[in-house]
Amino acid sequence: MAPDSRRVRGPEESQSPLLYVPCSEAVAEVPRAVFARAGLLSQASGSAYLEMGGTKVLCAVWGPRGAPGRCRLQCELRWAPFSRRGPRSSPRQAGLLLQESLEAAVRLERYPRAELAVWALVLEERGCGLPLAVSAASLALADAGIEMYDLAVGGGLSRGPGGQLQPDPLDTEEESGATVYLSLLPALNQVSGLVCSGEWEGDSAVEAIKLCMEGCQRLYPVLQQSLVKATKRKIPEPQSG
Amino acid sequence: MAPAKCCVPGERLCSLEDCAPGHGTYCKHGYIFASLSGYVVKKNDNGMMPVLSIVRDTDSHLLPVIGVTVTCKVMSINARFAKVQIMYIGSTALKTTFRGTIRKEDIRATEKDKVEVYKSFRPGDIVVAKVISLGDAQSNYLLTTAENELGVVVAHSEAGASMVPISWCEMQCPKTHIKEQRKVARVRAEYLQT
Amino acid sequence: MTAMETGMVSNRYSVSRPFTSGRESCSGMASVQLSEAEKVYILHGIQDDLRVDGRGCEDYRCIEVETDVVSNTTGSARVKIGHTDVLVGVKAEMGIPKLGSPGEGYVEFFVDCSANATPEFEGRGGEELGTEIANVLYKIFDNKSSLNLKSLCIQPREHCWVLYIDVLLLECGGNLFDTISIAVKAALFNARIPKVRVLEDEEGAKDFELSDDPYDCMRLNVTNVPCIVTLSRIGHRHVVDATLQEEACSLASVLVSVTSKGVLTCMRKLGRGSLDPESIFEMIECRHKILRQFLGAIPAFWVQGKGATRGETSTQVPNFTHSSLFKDKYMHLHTQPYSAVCMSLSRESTAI
Repeated sequence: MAPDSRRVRGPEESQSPLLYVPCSEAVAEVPRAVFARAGLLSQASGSAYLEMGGTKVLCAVWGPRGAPGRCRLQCELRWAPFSRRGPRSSPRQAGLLLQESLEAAVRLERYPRAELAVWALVLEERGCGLPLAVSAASLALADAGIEMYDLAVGGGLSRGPGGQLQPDPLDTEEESGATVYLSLLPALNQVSGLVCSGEWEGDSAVEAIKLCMEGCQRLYPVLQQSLVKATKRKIPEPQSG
Repeated sequence: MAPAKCCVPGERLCSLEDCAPGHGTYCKHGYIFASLSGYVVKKNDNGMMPVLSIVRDTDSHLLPVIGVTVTCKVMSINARFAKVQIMYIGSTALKTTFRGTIRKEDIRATEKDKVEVYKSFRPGDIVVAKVISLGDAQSNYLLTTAENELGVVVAHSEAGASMVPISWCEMQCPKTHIKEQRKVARVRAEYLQT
Repeated sequence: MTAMETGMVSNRYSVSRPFTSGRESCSGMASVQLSEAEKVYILHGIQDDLRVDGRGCEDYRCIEVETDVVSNTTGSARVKIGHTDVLVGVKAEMGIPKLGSPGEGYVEFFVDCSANATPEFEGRGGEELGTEIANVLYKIFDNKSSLNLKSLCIQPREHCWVLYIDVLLLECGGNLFDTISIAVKAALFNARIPKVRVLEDEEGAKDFELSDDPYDCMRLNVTNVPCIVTLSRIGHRHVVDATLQEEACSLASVLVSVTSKGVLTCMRKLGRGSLDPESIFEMIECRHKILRQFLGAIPAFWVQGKGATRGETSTQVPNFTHSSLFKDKYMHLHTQPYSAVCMSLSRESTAI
């Protein structure tokens, strides 16, 4: 192949610009701080905003609105274009995972011939976007007054290079390999969603799932509190009588 | 009275032995759980077991169910059916409209074979109807007007004036005095504003 | 079935998963309609460890593996489990390594749910299921050990082999994921990637030379390629290798991909139901038992094909052996027992 003399050719050796992006090495041992707020969008039927560490998720619920067939939960999970560095995972698949995690929590049989639309947007991704979106979505559904069996609480975990299990991993830790995402219905002790990737030997997967469930149980009261607050704000107390 | 308790979905409220489950709750393992976020209200019915329900006073998500009376607007008609948009359920306005269909054979209770859709409805009419089926995956809600109280309640003539019913099947324009055919409803006395 | 009826069945017969309603099976999956009585029959049978076709809860159906079925692929396999029939073709093409991993080749999956399998897949109907399966396949190969991607590299940062793995569903009879994963493994085992020599002239221009000899090729090491085991929760128990009818009774299943060493590489919950954590642990534990079942079966059944005449690479496996499945080196290069199907496929495509 003759070299193209008209163009300025780049150097033979080239690296991805991502190599030069500084990488924060700090591994937080303490649980990441959580901020939750339900009912902040005025137009949607229900909405929620959830923040954990640097990860920020906004979720809106529309409906129930008329649709043919049985009740459907239509979920979409998107990452904002500026949410993270590097490539992002396929949004379509993420929406499906979100739907699977929520379907077991929502009493869909109460909404025949209707459609519930759940839109989750990850504004900033610093790890655990998917499980946080699950929590935010169930918060938004409850805020919309949709009948549910329980709140679905998401939790994530990754295994570091040394084999230590790190709940609520940062995005840098997630990249390192093995991760578990789980969604739990805490009051009923049911797992509604589970995604595991990477290699898990022996019983390490079981251990990871247990740890993940503990994380969900810790997050549960936070979600409950914010929902109670939102409900009190949104709905006037009924007059006794 | 103590302030009503606020609850969230999944919260265990009480045992099934103490209360009966009402709106916004479900039972599992002999307990009543909340399935809505809202206020817990216990209603005592004289001597009966108190009913525990969850109240979210504002717009609870109403959906058309079989047997309810709905108010709808005719969107289009053809020889076999009229397509409508459901706007009210009972007296509650819906946030989003649902689509329904009134088939030719469901327009009148008698002389069904003589009914013609264009002599019963025109696009733009406001119709009171009843839901008879939720329909299957392909079709919309099926509605009927085969009762005296059901049918067209508001219609406009070609001149644009609101017409006045003069019989079961005719309405007249007050401006031009032209008669138009409709499936007229006898509006119940309690709904009439005088 | 109405939502109410489905709910009734599982409310009465399963305690662990009381939350049921609506759609019977996993998203977009080909499904059958079952009456309540049929569901109860299947459920009761499974509670007594006896399934409709006489199997126990942890038994597979007979697995038929046939390799080298499509001549113009690098490697191909057709796997039949019961009425599930899957054809996988691997095509190796030269490409440019991905930026993130300059020294490795990569794998691309595409799943085609043709309307041959079920009319539901007509048009774009199968797309959702296809993407879902492809995503699962990406996930199970998304680790360092399952496939040695370094061996696919020809020249770092410049050239590598890209394996396009095309999965074609010919018939759906339940347990798609397991069947596809076995077929992918068999097709990868069957793949012969020509050896490439890089020639460099004085000016630095590079030229490739592909070996003409069909036997001078590279084989992939598939010992660590995981297989998927789908465990469907039905009533209080779980079953492996569920038929379409059984899938209709199950609201949630767990998909576990395991290597022959028992290492878990991917796990996912499928379906709309929820599961008890204990039952998930049970299912994870269960993989060892299933592995043992695989390993205890006839070792190296591929050997049967050794003395066989052309067209007899097809082998019936009562229980397929995970590690010994792909041991044999000998393959018929030019057999095409599947040509009939391929022909009918090509005819159909021209008709379209």
